[in-house]
Amino acid sequence: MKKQYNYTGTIFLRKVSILFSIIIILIFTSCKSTNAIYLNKRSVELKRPVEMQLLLERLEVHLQTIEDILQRNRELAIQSSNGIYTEGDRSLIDLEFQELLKEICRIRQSAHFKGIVLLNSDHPNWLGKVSLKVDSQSDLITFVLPNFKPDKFGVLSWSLKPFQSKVHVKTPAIANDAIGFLDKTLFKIAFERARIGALYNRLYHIKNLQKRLSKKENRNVQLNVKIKKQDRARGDSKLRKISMIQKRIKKVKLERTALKEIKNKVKTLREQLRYLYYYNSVFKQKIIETEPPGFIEGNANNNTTLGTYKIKILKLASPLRITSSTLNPQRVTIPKGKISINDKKEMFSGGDVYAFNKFLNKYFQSILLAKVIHLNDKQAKLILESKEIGKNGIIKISDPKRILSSLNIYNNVKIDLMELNYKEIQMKICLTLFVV
Amino acid sequence: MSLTFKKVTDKEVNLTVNNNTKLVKEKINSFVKAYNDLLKFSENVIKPALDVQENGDEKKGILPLNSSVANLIHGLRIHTSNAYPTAKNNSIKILRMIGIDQGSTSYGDLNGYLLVEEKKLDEVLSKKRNLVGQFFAFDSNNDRRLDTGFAFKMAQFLRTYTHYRGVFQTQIKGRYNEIRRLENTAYRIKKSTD
Repeated sequence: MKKQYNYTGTIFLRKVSILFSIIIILIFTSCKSTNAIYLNKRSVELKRPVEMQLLLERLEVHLQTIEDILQRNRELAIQSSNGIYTEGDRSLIDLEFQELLKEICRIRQSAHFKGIVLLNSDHPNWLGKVSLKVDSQSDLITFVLPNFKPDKFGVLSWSLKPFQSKVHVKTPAIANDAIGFLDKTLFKIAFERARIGALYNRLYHIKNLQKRLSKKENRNVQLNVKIKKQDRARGDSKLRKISMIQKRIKKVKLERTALKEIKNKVKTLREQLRYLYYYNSVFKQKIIETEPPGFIEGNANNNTTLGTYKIKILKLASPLRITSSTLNPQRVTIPKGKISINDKKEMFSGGDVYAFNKFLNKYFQSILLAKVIHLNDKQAKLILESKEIGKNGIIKISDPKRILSSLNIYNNVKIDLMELNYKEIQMKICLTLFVV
Repeated sequence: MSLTFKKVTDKEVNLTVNNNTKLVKEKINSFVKAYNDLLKFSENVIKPALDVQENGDEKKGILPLNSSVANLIHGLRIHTSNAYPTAKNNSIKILRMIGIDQGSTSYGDLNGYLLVEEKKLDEVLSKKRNLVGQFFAFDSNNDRRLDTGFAFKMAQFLRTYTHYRGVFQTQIKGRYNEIRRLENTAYRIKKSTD
């Protein structure tokens, strides 16, 4: 009987020792897989900045999703508080609202990175913070994991069984309160994401420093081995360094381009928004429509009174014309001098009517068309015809040398040249031409 | 009003001066396009490595976890979902009421992107054009200056990012300086090798 007891005891001890060794192996492998050392129950120590970056990325993805959900809940709350909804409609909105809150609880429970619980502070393995030991000389870099309280998310507890929410959007007033509540929560999430981003960037520089140092150390080792190889190694390392710098330049250039692109896109969006509210807002702009179409085109400014007008078009404007008196083109000689039409000045070198006609068509072709019309063999008239019609076709002539007066071209506009000064001539011509 | 007469008419022609609703709709659509474009680009740019694409590839954004871009996205979504104070008789207070959806129960997968419901927008613009205008910009205290409204507030928010000393310009300048510094270093190394 005694022997049998001893035998059972030995088996028991053996089983315990096997179990113990399994536990030790499990702890060892879990530590190795995360490249982490568990210092105590409330902290974990990582050794490589890359590990920490990956952890932060994983955390960021979870927080981004939570933020998306909160944004959606905020939209639902705003809809419920502002829209013209029935009680039934609001209950339906609330259904989605509560379901999304449940999803936040689930995400919080499931968020982990290689065995490290990221958000669930109720979990027995929750560590509260993650540390990074960069080297033996410097202090630990500690990142405190976000510890979200249930009341900040509108739930009584994080447990889904049973799920108990204290925020809903069933009435406009309560939905309004929920908006303010969600704003605070969103701010908290944005703060945590900013904290992650900041440390992530810091880790990038730590990684860079480590890379540079390790390369330098390698080079020092090589220096001690062989002098001949030393120069080659130095050359290689320099080439490698240059290629690394070029790689970095490429990356920074890409970043700069992306930032410029975002800035341009923001600018475009702002410009589009300005059309909707600025002083030239599209809401003020008017449009002219005619029935039947095709007879009138036009623009209306912002102050035009809305309404319908009846219009009958009796006659269209024609090009403005001014003609000389009947003259003999072979005998008339036009003196040389400066002539200005619509503020465009040109010098005529003198000649007959044909030369003058050619001169006008060459230099003032955008303003007028000059023609010599033959009445018979010895008689002709010079006609100046504006290119534009109506008001736009007014021709302003400055003729200090009286070139045109030598052709009696002002006769048709009935101005006594001797009595009027130049400005008056110009004005009268304009007026007369316009009336014509 | 300026008119150009094209042809002589036999009888009277009806000329009507109307509000340019077509242009309003066009500009609203352009705004939605610009908004979605910016949101999509920003989200892709800050994508962390863990965000796995549908085809299974891992594609990291160019500026992973950049907090300025994250804040921009956050602000954009806040402004598009907000309600804005308007005149007492104006029932239009959120984007959804003019037919710009952010994901109702039927469009749950929009995820912050905007979608124009053409039919609803047409209806609202034909019946409540002025109220829509008030929603975009409104003078709430009658001092003849616009002080609230969706477009007004959002443009104000975006100013921080487009300003010549704004968030992005500072970062662009920082990158520019870094490139110059790196190029100098590379040049010095190259020179010492020669």
